[in-house]
Amino acid sequence: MAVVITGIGACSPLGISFAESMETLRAGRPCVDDIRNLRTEGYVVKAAGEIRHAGEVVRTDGCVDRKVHFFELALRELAAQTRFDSRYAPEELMLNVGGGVDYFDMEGFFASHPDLVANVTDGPFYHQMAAEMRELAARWHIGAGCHLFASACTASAQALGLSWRLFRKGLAQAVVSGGADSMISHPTYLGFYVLGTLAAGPGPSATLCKPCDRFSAGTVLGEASVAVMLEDSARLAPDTPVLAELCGYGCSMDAYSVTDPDPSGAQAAEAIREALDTAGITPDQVDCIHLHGTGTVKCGPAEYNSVERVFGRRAAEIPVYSMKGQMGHMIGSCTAVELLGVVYSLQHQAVLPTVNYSTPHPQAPFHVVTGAPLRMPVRYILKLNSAFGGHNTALVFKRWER
Amino acid sequence: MTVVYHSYAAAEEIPVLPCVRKRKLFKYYNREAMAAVLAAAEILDGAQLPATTPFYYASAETETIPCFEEIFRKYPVRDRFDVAGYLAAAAPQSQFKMMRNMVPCFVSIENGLTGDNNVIIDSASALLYAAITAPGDGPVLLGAGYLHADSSVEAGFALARPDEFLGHPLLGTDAPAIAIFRP
Repeated sequence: MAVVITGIGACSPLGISFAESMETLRAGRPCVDDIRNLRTEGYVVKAAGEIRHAGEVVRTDGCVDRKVHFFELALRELAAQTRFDSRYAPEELMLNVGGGVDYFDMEGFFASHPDLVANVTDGPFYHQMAAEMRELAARWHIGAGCHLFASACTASAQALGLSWRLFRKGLAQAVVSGGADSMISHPTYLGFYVLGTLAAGPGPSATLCKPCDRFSAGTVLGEASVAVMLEDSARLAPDTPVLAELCGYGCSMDAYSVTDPDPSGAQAAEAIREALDTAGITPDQVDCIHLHGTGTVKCGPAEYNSVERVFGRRAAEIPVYSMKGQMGHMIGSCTAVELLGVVYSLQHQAVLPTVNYSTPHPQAPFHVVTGAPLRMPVRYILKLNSAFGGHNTALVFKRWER
Repeated sequence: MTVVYHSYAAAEEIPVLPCVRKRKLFKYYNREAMAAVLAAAEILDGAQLPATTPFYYASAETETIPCFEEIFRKYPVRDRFDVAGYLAAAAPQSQFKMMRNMVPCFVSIENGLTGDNNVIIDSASALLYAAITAPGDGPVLLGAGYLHADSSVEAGFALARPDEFLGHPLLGTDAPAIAIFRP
């Protein structure tokens, strides 16, 4: 039995379908610009990767929780691709999704309560993600559990990782996994600004997030909702399309700081080792690494140290890629949306160039692909993510071989 | 299986400070963090556990509400929607109280827990699945917190082997995680 990805529904700055997203990825078009779907008077930093279609930001009213709204669109696309809703009984379908903080419509609340005396939970302004996702699961007849994960930037990796373990234990039949997060709301965007993690320039918004670059100065926030179909290969019809096999997972905790990664990369390396062990492969068998690569000052060196602890001198040679330069950091859904890059590498046997990378970082001397996709045989991909708070995850994906 | 459960009324003091080794982090604690760190200290007292012991935690729905209320309280502008003013009022500490993964991070830092982990929103079923599928056969640490809208708070922790959760009646239900630990 293998755990395989049989479909992906995607709404992200790359596009509002899997096909559009893959085409934007291939073209390398920057998807970050000044925020369009939110009033930003008074904002010092305005760059963000908002969900787009045909290059234009998809706008919604302030009363809409975009992460849940777009997750349902992604789920609809996934159903069209995989017919999961007709192939499985409700009691066989589980929803395991990584998410973010609850959405609060500050502008709508202020417009209705200028005296600010009401509780923020009064009225339609406070959106509880868990409750709305449970309603969504009920509408789609997903009856084996609705489980949400919240470890910030590793939330969707942990959703995928737990799903993989449930299959291996025989506790899951079919899982809709993925991630849903939007950082483009006043509380979350301003929160990250006051924490000092956002890139402030100089330069156009599209150029600000520079993963692994010597001049990395911060990240750019974004939004994405991505639904991923995980199935047991033994239950598939012979002609079922398979995008990738998920074959290994590891997870660890720095227990070092709530704000910074452990610069030694020691615990992140343990997550990598566990992922490779559970996949049954050695570091030499990994063809490329899709990094967390946020563009913050401390991310690159810490991530390099973790890779070096496992890969030794090969850490500077193995091709690496970060999607965040092109579209920003989706926090709770970043692993899920970055699966698009993993699938691209497996389908096209190539590692994409990292947008906005130009100058090697002396403390993170990765082999970052630049200019054009690097054509090469890709069988195993290591996907890394780390979170604010110290969580580290590593997933191993394999080209599907029947 | 060892279980610890405590609840605190809205204005009740949570006597966590003697258990806090990383005092610099205390300013980031909300009441859920206080209750969870105290309960974790109690269940881990005397336990000889490896640092790699898996630790899974579920947080409930309402922890973000006080942060928004704090912003409006600090900057109660009534004649316009002033983003810059709210920006100034949003203290960095508030963000730590908003993020759902901060409570288990505090518990991990306090106790040096570096192993497998997961952070779950309010689901007993997901928390139990995480425990059952934990890597290895050693004990796992399970925790949940529930900060209610009136600031009353519950925290529960359990230390058990993964197979002790197989067949748990809350698997596959919509029950809140704290229900695993309530007496």
